[in-house]
Amino acid sequence: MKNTINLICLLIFINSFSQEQKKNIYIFINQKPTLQIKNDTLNIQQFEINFDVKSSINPIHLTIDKSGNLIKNLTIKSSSNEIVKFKYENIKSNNIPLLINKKNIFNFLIYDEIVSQIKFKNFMNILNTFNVYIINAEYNSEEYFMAKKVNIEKYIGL
Amino acid sequence: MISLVHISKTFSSFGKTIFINFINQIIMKTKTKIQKLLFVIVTAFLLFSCEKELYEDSIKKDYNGKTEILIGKEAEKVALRLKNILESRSTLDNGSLARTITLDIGTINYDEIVKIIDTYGKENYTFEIRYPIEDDKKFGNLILQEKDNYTTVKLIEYYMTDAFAQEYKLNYDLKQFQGNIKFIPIYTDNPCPDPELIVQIGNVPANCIGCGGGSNNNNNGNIPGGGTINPGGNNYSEPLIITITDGDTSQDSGEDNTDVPNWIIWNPPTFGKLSIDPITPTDPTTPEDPCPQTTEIGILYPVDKCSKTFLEHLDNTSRKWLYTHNEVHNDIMNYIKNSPNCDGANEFAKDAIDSFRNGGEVDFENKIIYDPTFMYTKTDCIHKKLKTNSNDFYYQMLSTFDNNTNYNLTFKVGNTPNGDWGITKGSSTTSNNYIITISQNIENGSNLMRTVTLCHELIHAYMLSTLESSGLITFDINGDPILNINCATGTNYNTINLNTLSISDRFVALLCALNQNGTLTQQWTHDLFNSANFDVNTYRQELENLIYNEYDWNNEDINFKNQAIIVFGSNWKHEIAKGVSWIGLENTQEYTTFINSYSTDIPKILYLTDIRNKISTANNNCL
Repeated sequence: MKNTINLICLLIFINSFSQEQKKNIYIFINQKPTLQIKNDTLNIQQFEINFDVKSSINPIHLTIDKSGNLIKNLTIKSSSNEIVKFKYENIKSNNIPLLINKKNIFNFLIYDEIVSQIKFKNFMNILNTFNVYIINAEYNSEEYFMAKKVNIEKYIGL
Repeated sequence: MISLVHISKTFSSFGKTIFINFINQIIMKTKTKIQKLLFVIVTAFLLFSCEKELYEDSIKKDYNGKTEILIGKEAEKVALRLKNILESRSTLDNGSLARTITLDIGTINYDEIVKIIDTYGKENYTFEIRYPIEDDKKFGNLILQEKDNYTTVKLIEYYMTDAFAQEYKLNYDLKQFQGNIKFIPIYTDNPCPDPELIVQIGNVPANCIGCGGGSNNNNNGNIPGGGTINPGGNNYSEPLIITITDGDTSQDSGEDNTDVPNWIIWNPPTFGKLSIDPITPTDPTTPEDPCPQTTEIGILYPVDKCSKTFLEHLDNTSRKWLYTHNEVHNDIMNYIKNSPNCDGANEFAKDAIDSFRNGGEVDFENKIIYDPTFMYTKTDCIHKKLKTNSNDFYYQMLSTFDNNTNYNLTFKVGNTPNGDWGITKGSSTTSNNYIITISQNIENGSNLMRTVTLCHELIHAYMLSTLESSGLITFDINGDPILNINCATGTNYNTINLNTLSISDRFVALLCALNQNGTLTQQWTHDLFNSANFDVNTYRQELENLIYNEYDWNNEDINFKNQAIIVFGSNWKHEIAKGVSWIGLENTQEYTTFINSYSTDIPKILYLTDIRNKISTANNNCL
């Protein structure tokens, strides 16, 4: 009886621990970092996904002016500030990049599909439940990706 | 039978021919008639069309079938007759042939003339007098009376009591007039004497000074005034009718009638009669009185139509509040009266009353409403400091919302979407109101945060109002701007000399250049911060200069100051001013260029990339 109780407690403990343990999500971004600060002891990079891009420009309406020349009529809403920034900070090797085997990557998203197909709020809610890593194209080998753990910074407008 | 049949056939054939010819003739005649008819119709149509076009502005408004408002060419004709009379008098008086008569009364306006034909067939025309010096308690009308080739011109001046003038300013309602009325003869060739009158308006007795008295057969040379005749504004209400009678049908001069009640009865057509009209219908069997003692004239009394509309549409609570706050009332009425855009002014005035009632303030000169949430905040304190220097960019931007534009501005402190430091919204309605909301977090932050947020949002409001007035943006129902521009495909917008363009074209060129470069995004309102819309500087540069020049650096928090000096050295004020001027513009290409220019200076770039947090520790006491 005592063993059974101990087993149940252990299972509950393990279960609760496993729920707190976030899984990793890997974001593939082809773009270069928008900000890069680097010296011997410091490496800071900032990556950015701008959700405004996909809804920013409505179809162009073509017209012809009085002289017979082609005119593009553009209608553009202003920003809704749906921008997320990923900041990688490695100060004195406290956040060195990980080498991840492709086979071990289960949760991942690609920049193009994020920008074009995923809604900002949905994306932000999902990200909050994961440890977020950025995989930038320029550092990868055939079997391994270099993943950098990043902090999420939502843009606050003005 | 055969022959009969033949004859019959022959006749029938002959008859057919005649019948056909007859029918043809009828058809031909009918055709000709139809053609003629068509010609007449078309000609008539063309003539009437032309006539309509020619006399389109000679519209008469008809009240109660006996009162007309003459405007346009109809008014001009009557005004010309009056002018000729006054000019002939003037010529007699001073021997000159001046085209205008400059006497003491002021200007005679013929933009609207009230015409009334009284019961006795006398045509009375009422002109508005505009005095050189406005007086809230006095207004005047010039009356031109015409009948049987006789003409009389009189000036009637209405002097309100102080109490009534005060009441009148509140509601523009003349029905309960209290005060004096002065009749001044200017010209008459009518042998009939003027009646001596005792005046009563509505239920309230009023004094009448100089109301006739007989010996005024010809008042030439007795003119107390006159005026130039000019078309003027359209600020007068629908007319009231004033009925003048001495209550005596005899042809006495009136000197013996002092104990006989005489009346001026106000009969406003839109409100119904206020008093008993003593005029009895003319009996056709009764011989016409050659000198009738009764007539009716119209009154053009001063009322600002926009103000009247405002008061009429104001809810009872606001109206009652307004009537008990005389200073605010006067400010609002003066603002509406002087505003070029009636609808916009009414909207702004309503918002202003709401703000006042809730403890806010209104700057009528710059058309700025300070919401109660903004009043006496630290943000308000910073705003007051920033607007003191009239040479500065901040003051200049505020001034663009003055009475010469259709736009007005509201400052608030409150919640902003997504925790933004500040937000500026426009309006999709006719109110033309821009609302700047500063986040409560910024109100609780530092002076530097408040300064940069106020300046940044004011630039948005200033920029958007310019774009809106240029017709380049509209606002959606949420107050967010929607850009709409036309870009030519054959133009290289990157090489255009902006200084040769109008403001509107300059904005179009800048935005089309962004489009051509593939960088036109929803961040366009921030991209424009980096464009040279001014002769020399960008908005961002102006913002940097403003903060550098106006911010109170000397009283800055010592720890903040020391850290800034460690990073930037003696140039710390300039570097901080530059750094904070980029806050909010972080998503622009220019910011990336700016921040990466520090990539070799690690302390500076670390400071600048974290500047939002850094300035949160700056001084937060605004005194």
